Amino acid sequence: MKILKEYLFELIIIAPATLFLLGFFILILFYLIGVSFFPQGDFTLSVYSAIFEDQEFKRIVLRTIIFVFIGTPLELILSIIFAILLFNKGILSSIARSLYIVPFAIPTIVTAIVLFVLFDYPGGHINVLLQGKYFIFPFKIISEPINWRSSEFLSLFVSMLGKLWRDLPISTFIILTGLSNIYKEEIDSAKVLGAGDFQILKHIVIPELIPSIFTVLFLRSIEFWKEFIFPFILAPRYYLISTVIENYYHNWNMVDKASAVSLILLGFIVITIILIRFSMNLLRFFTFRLVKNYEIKN
Amino acid sequence: MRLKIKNLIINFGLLLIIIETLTPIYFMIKYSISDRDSIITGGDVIPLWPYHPTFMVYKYLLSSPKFIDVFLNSVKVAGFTLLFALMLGVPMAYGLSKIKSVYRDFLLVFLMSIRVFPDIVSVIPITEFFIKLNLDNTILGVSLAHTLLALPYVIFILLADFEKVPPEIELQAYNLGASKTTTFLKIIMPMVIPSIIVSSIYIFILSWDEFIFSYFILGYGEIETLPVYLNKMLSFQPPQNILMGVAVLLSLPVFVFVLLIQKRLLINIKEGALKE
Repeated sequence: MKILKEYLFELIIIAPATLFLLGFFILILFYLIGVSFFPQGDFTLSVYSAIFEDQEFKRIVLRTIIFVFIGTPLELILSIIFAILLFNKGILSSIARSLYIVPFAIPTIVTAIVLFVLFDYPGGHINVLLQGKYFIFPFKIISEPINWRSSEFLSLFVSMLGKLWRDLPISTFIILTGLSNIYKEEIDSAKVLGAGDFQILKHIVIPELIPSIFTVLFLRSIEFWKEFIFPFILAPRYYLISTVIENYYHNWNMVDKASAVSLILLGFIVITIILIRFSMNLLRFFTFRLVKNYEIKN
Repeated sequence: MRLKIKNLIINFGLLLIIIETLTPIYFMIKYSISDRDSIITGGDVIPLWPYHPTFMVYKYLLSSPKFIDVFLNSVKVAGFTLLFALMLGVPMAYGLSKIKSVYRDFLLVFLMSIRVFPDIVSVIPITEFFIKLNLDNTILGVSLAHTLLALPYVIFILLADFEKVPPEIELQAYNLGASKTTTFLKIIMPMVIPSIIVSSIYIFILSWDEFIFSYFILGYGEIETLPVYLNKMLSFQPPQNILMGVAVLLSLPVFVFVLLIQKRLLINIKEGALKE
């Protein structure tokens, strides 16, 4: 009541946006639960049991897990390499730094369609390039053109490439921010004491980067779970959880199944967040123990 | 010698980053200015640069009533989204910046949690709801859905700036007899105009290239936005130069706006990263 009196004007002006967001939040949550758990009015798990009994859905879940668990660490490794390269001073580094925001400025669907054209079969640029037919790359890697969209592995590989191309700038920037926070004196001292590049990387750079690394893991794993556009355009025959939602809804008109799969996807994202948080705390705990032991010994 | 090899590896790596970044954009532009012979090669190797570069595709697209119609739809959707998001977001951010209570943070976290739902998860309930309200296949429906996506960002960006405004300015205005509404509209809001412009660009970009909500809500109806049009075109297998022409025209505003707010964008990514 006191708040109401004190902040009447503020409460009035925040009301429309609050109602808008709150309304949609309730709508989304209640709709998904209602349609998937109460399809005929009474509570039932029949929609979920039908989904989990479906062998194709099991394959989709496995495919998505592989997509997430290869894509996320791959993006992390590449972003660390890119950040270390960009951290160096020089003309090329300045050019690369000013350019690396560019993928962010290209709409996702455009990136997906560019890759669709580049990886075309049989005469797309990538096939021609790998056949060694261009003067800039005269090495014959393949003798016959590859149909990138006909194989589960290849089509998801191309989807992952697109995702990496688009998201790498953000991940690289996060790692770069972490790198900028490392004291130069620390590295100089290590050099004076005889540490080599690899030792500096292992004992100073990587440990100092742990918060940034976890941020990238955290954000990117969520992104990989919910990725829709790349697999939708580039791997339409090999569904991931996100694309099968669209398939259930548009092609099969199964709103209940689409809603149930949506909640399952949300569940996977929540589990991933908890796992990453847990491993982050675990790593912090062990790092703390290691430092403590080191201090006691010395 | 070792240093030279190290520098060579670093420069080679940097060169690869530059090539990797520019390759898709190069090919997008290359295809969009390709003549017919550079695309339909009759079994010959497709050239890395068109035989006879031409702007024919752009002329064709910009004189096509269908393309103009779709382009204008995208402008309308982005415009309405901008209007709704600012109308709701600016007062919300200001109001929240003034409330000093524990409930404020709780409310903020709760409202922001709408973005926890991936787009593909929230799109079905919203589409079904809009079908019931006859808002499916309408510009208003898509704009409202995009507003839902944009609003948390607008609040997040503007809240920080409203909090930076010294409270003494408001107190002086009240002492001079200004009401809270006048103070907000005539004194505080003009002070955060740069942030409102940045937010507007964010909203515009977000709405302009949004695909999932537009695709579900517009379905297979008459109205299309540029991303939906591009996706539909793909199923008809049009000539690649036309496909890429649309892609360039879709990317152009986003590209220009991202470059305009590049600095602010990086600060926001950094702040987001440090908060984790």
